[in-house]
Amino acid sequence: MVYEGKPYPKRGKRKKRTRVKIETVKSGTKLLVCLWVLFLAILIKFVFPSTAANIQETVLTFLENSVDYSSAVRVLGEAVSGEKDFLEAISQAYNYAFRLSSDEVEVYAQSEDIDVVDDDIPESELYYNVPSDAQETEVDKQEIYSPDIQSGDETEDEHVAEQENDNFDDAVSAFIESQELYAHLGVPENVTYDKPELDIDSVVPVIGTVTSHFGYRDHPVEGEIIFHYGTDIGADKGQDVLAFADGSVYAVGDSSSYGLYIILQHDNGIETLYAHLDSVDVEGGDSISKGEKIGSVGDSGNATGPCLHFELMQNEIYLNPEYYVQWK
Amino acid sequence: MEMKQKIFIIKPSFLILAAMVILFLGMRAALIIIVSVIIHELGHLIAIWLCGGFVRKLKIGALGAEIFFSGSFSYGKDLLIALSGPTASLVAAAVSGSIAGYFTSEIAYYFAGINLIYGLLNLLPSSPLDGGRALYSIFSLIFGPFVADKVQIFFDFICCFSAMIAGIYVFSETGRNLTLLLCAILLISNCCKTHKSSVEFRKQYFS
Repeated sequence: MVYEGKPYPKRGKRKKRTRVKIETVKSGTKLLVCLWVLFLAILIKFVFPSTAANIQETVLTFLENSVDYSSAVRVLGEAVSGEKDFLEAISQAYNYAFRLSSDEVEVYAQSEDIDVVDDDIPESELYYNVPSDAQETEVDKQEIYSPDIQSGDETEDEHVAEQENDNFDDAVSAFIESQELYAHLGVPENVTYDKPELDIDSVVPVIGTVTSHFGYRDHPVEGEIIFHYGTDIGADKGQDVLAFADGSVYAVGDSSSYGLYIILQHDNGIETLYAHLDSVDVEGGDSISKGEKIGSVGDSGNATGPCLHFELMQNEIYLNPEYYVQWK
Repeated sequence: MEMKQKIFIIKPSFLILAAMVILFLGMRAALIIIVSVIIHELGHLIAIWLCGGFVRKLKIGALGAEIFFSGSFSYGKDLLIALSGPTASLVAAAVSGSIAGYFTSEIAYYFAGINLIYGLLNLLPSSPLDGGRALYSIFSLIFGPFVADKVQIFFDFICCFSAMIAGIYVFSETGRNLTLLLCAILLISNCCKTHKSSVEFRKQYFS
């Protein structure tokens, strides 16, 4: 029996009362206004993605070190799937959602993210490569520890070069050994543990001590294993950051995780990224010489202290920078 | 006298929420959230249908969707209908969680997480949420509606108060994070609304 209207207050068998709400004209206008706001939001998101990204950046910067709801949700999902202890997941989710200890998470590029994290690098900041006259400059006498990685080159420095190459071969085996703990995870996509010849003159971008190596390591907040796509070199704030090799500036930007960053393009499909900078001295499209100062060391973005986050890529595959640069 | 009744209503607060989500979290996140809400409401709808009622109106607000339905129900059925929504969400979370475990699909993890959150959130014992309605039904079943009303007011107060305290705590700790605070305010205003209408309703019919 379908009954509408007055209920009887009989114990246990009360008919469900139906609520009848008559909407007034006032809420009609409110509705219309909000419909327009939604429409505008969708419009901005799809037609002006750069503006949307800018708005996102501004708000996230205001919230300081962007609350990471996506990670919080993901962590809870892992708890549901049984891969994580519930209490652990809750405390991690809490940290992500409310970022009580915002200093503790460094930036780690993740290639499989959904929309939420992908919007980190605002497109408006990216400049497309302006063809420049890339010149091969002579070997700079000033450079220190500069391994010239050229295959089969007979130079006076060959003796030294060989020695350094030996060191680097050691570096390869040492690295692979260090990653054995994580061997079951395999090598991530777009990464290689090999040491391909770069065929390029290069210098050390910054002098300092490695604070965080390339490869798998334990995540400071979650205590789980994540992959570090570059090398972090601790240095003094304001210290010069030099261009790895000749090339041009592909992009200059500011993101919540990388902080102030520069991407350079070099010969042979090589790209380098310098992040957590305090200042940037170049602009998109500039032509850069090897060893030229492009910025200074800082702790912008999600850095644990003043350091340079340095990434090295060839043909969009991440290489281990420590194979090619001598840091103590 | 017949009054024209709107069958499908979208509250303005929902549109604002949708705009925020799309702008700040991206379309994919928005879609996952929408699907989760749909699953939750489907849970309700299935229970309503199983209990023999039919849906007269659907109202979507910032706190979720509200289904207006008519039929003859006991408090027991009421309880079933109220709990079926969160159950559907938690089941979806569990299923999605095991899929995520086997296939390590990112989206499955997010889906499981969102459904878990939505399911648990709705189980909180405050009146605008499913948990509050379930509470009301249980107490009405055992003690009758008048006691249930008082108990509901009590629980509403506790929930709103705790939410407020939590919101203030998070805001003071981070110095910036307002989300929990906003949620608390939203909860308080919705509780007041439901109480206001139910008090008027009771005055009308029982005085």
